[in-house]
Amino acid sequence: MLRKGLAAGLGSLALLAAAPAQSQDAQMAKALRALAVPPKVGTTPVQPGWNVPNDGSNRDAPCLMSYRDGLNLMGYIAPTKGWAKGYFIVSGPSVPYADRPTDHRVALVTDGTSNQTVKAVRWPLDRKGKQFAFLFELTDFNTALDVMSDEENLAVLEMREGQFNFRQSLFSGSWTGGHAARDKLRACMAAKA
Amino acid sequence: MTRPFRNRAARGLSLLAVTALAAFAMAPQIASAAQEREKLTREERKERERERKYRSSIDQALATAHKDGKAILIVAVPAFKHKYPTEALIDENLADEVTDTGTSAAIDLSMASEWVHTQYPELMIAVSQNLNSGAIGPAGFFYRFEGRRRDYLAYIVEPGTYALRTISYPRPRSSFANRHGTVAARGAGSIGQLRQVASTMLEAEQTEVFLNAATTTVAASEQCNWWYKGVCTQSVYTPEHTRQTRAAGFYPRTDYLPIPALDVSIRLTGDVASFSTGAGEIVLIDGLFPEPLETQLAVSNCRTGESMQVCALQAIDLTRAAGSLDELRNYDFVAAHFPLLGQLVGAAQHRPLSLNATALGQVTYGERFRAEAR
Repeated sequence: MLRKGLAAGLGSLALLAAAPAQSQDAQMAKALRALAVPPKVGTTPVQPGWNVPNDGSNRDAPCLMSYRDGLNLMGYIAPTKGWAKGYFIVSGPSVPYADRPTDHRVALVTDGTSNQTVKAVRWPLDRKGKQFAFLFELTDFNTALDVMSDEENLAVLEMREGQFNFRQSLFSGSWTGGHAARDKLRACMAAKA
Repeated sequence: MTRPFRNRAARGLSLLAVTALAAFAMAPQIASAAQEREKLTREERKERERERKYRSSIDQALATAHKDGKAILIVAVPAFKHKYPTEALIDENLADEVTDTGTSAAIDLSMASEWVHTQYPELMIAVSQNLNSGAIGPAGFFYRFEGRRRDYLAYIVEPGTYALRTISYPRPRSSFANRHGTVAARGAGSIGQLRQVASTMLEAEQTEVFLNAATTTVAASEQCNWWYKGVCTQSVYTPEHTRQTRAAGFYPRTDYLPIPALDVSIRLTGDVASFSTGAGEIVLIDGLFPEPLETQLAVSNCRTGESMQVCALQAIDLTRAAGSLDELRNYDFVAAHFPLLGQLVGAAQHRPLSLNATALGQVTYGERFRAEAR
């Protein structure tokens, strides 16, 4: 399923642009913090592991969905007021430290497909600066959602060439039950449209 | 030794004068070195005080959490320093001895086991030598106590049952074609998923290279030694000379070479291992981990992409490293600035893991079990 998903979804990723404009940084930081906040203990998620915090009733907050795979986090941030494009993000303990948003050349890896080398932006995920994320800009967010798989295995490899960095694994994670969360995300987007 | 104005004949002796001058000039440097030592000592004292405060704050946090009804969990893991007693041994074993000695500090340092609360999956702990709460938040250990054969990682956890869900580690010098040992599966079902990402690690290679002697030429110079009423009445002349800065010989060099490696993630969906804690309990549990160089796996239905392989996991060998309440209680918590935890540990219980696995026998770092689909 993801093979199909990546064929089109990462096709969108391959058209990645650089980091959001400076004026959007604060908004993006806010969205990422919302993405990183785990659901409250005891709340029933739409699918185990998935968190879709906004159903569209909060018009100031972006529509997003995130999946916690142990220490790893993956998610989608829908286009919203302030930026027209959506983002796919991955975060985990292996994502290297960045004190400011920086461009990064990485390969997206899945089972059953060829690697795709794309540009990502490395960004601090939380206020304390302990977690860092790779942001992949999705030029066509709806298409990326259309082809998103219900189950996914995904890894990110370093593609910058240098003495100490080449093809190291920077992230490896998986999700299940993505379609139910996607439906909730679409409901949020429709409510805010 | 010195000459008034320019007496070239004195050149032969002038170096001695320079030496004397140098000794004079060194005096302030010696004084500043002593000050530096004093400063370092102050820095060390400050550092020790910072560390004491840091430990005391963690000690207080553990005691407060316990008072608030949280459980204190202590997980035994093989003592890293017992396996790699010296820095040199760590470096030597970081990756490149993986196929020669059966040890890999890279694996031991980076392996992480994630235990997830069965009722609230957003609650978990990550058991790893590297992942402390400062780095990853409350899922990490708050402090590591070093025992003789075991290290003990202390966590604050919500009461409940935790199941082993994920194990991840790097595997140097490995590829899809050269990977884990495999065993035949007993049943057709699976207990989880094995995901391997073909990546690269850097292997430190220590070599010695021969370097020729290196010299530097110091230009001739003249320096005034005695000023009298604004006139230099005595100067010191130093002729051009050559000084050796390095003797010829073999010198150590570290090269970093990329080697193929696998980034391994094992996700367990079956009921392989779990433990329970109650409110306000102090619980010691055994460590449970694969030993990748000897780990036997059974897999099926593999899908392989350019750099990722995902397989259904049918069986895996895990080693249980037993913790010791005696070793834990004999630890000098007061000296380590953890007096409150020391009091709590007096009431600690050794809670056996609930294992759905078959015992295979004793190995170097514990007892080995095989978890498999039936």
